[in-house]
Amino acid sequence: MIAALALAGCTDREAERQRQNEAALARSVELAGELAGVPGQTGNGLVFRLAFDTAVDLDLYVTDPLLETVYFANLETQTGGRLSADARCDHEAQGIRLEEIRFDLPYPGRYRVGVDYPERCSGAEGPAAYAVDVSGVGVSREARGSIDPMRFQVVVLEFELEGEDE
Amino acid sequence: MAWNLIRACCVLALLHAPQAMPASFQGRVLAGDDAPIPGAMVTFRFGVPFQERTVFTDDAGAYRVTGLPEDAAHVVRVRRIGWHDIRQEGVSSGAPDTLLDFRMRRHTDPAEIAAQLPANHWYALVLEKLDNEAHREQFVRQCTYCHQQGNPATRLQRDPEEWRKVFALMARMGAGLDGELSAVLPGILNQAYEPSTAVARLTRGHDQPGFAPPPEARIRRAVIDEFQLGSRSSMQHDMVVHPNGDIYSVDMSTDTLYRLDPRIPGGARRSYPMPAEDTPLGGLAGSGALPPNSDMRVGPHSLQVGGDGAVWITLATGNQLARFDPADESFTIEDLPGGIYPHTLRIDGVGRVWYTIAVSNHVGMYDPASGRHEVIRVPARSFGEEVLLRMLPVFLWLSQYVDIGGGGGGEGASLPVPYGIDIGPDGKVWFSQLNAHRIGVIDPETFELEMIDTPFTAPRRMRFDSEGKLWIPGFSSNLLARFDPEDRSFETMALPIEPMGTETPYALNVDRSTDTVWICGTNSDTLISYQPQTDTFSVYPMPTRVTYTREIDFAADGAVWTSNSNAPAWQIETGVPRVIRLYPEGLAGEPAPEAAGAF
Repeated sequence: MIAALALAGCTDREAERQRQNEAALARSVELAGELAGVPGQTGNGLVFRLAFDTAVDLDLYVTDPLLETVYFANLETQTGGRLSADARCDHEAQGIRLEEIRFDLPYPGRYRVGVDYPERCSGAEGPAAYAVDVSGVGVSREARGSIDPMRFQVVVLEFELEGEDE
Repeated sequence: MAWNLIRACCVLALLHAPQAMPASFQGRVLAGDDAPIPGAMVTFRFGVPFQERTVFTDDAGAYRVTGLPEDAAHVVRVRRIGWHDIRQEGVSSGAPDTLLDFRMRRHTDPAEIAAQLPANHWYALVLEKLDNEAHREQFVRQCTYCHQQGNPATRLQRDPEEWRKVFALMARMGAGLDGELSAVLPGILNQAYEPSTAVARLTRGHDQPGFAPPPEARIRRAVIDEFQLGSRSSMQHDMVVHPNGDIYSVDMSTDTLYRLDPRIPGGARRSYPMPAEDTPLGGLAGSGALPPNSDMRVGPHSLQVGGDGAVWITLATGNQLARFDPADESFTIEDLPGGIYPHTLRIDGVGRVWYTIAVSNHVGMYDPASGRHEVIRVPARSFGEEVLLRMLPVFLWLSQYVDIGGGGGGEGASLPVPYGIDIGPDGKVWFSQLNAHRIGVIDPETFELEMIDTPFTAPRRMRFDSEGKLWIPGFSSNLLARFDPEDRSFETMALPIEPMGTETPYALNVDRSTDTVWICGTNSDTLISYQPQTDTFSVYPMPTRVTYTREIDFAADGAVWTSNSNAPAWQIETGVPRVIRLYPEGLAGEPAPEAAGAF
């Protein structure tokens, strides 16, 4: 009887988790659409953006070709990558939150995008939805998904930026 | 036929003989008024990946460096605290003892002088504001776990919310602070690192002769080599000197075993990817946080050489042991039957591999001859801790499906963490518990275990000397301890790193040919030796800023080896890890530099 009750509890939790994940994935599609509607000003540079809801704090991580990472605690790298917009729970926001990392003169090589979910702001339960895009210097990349609390998705997106022909 | 055999042998001998590096330079380092600058570091860099050789100037400001490759374009750096670095590129040697002199300019900006000081000087400004001893000890132990405190990347001011996020992220990486300390630390860090006050404090008296004195003359005989190993995402966690003279190092961040032959000019390097099969990024335990530039899956952590010449490696996040055969360059992987996070290992006299298991509070043993595994549970400090440890596998499994809450870590929930380990002369296995401030001993036949409280905090990586005495570094207690297993007595001595109390010695090793104890000066960019017979400490400054060391080994030629494994690597000056070789007495047979130079 106890085992059956325990099993039923596990099954209920798994079903709820599944439902939350599906909801987050559906929301990530909406976020991608909203992100696309916010034009980025790229100039000659490379721009990385992360969109998420106001109930959570997600963090954008971009690792550059010299394998140094821009994120909230390392605001600028040797290659000139910088956190140009940060979004935290204590920042006022309407609609969606946006984080942005820019490279005005991007080095050629591999770029890696990661997303971390360090904390909820208020009322949030379960996984959070996110959408990422990368634009500039001929690059157009997108990714979206759901992320569990206290989880770090190290590789959400990865690509090679080609160098200019000499 | 005999002549062909002789020729073949000559060819073989030439192929295996260390190649000569005949280029050499000498000169003087002087100030603008022709005063000599003793204790300047003169560093010659060459090759890709690079190697650097550093020597010190003597009392006359003279230096001499030998053993450099002929016809190489060197980059030369001259460095002395209080003076502008000199950097000269494209320096080539046209003849033996090519004359190359330098004239240095004093810094006039105190901020630039402060920036030259090792991390521990800045760190001291924080420590003096922590008047609660429990807070101080917690801050030291947790916040220098993987990287220096007080180096340029960490001596920052942040708004309190940003500090809170940083603490939470570090806790998820294994270094947690309790709520009380987390609440006060942002203000303390911001005050301590405020440039307008910090610079003045750090550079008081900088224009006086006693500020940043040169190393003693006997230290200045030393020659230091650094070999670039890996990339900016690498973390050369540990290294070992193979009896055949090769250096092996494990890059935990990229799951790579490196081999370096230092006898080849520039160092011949080979890399071997660790087999990871289907292990996910971050390893089996599904870490909540991972360095963003990491490709770690199995996480090679520590390595030792067995009696047959094979290299044994703990795969911390893969929960495995690996055996690397240098002959055919192959790996054999051994899954562990229990425990989480195999850590430091040693091999006993009958070939058994003993290793601490850091997260789950075990010590493991694997006998390759019989295939036998043992996983020995170490006693917890309390019933609550015992329950927590036993439930760990469940919590880790559950966390994949349910948010079990918390920002991670928190000193209140810190694990005891079995850490260092060594084999005594009687074959008994001794280990430390870093967070529990204890050492323990295991009978290798009965697996009976005894725990002993240490009279100091945070015993870390420890080693036996030739007389069966156990030497232990106090990581958060800034000391060196000598333990006598016979009478269970401890003797402690403070490490003489200025400012006092600012060192965080991660590891030590004992050169049993002389019983000299070598200690990692992990937060002060130094290697420290202690000679018990004369009760003498010697402090060897390392040439590269942000040199975070975790292990020491010795070569047959008297060299002391270590590696720079600050995590992340980009905090290291030049941004890449190195393996480091120190000749404390200089190179054998080398004459002293002549004082005459071009000036």
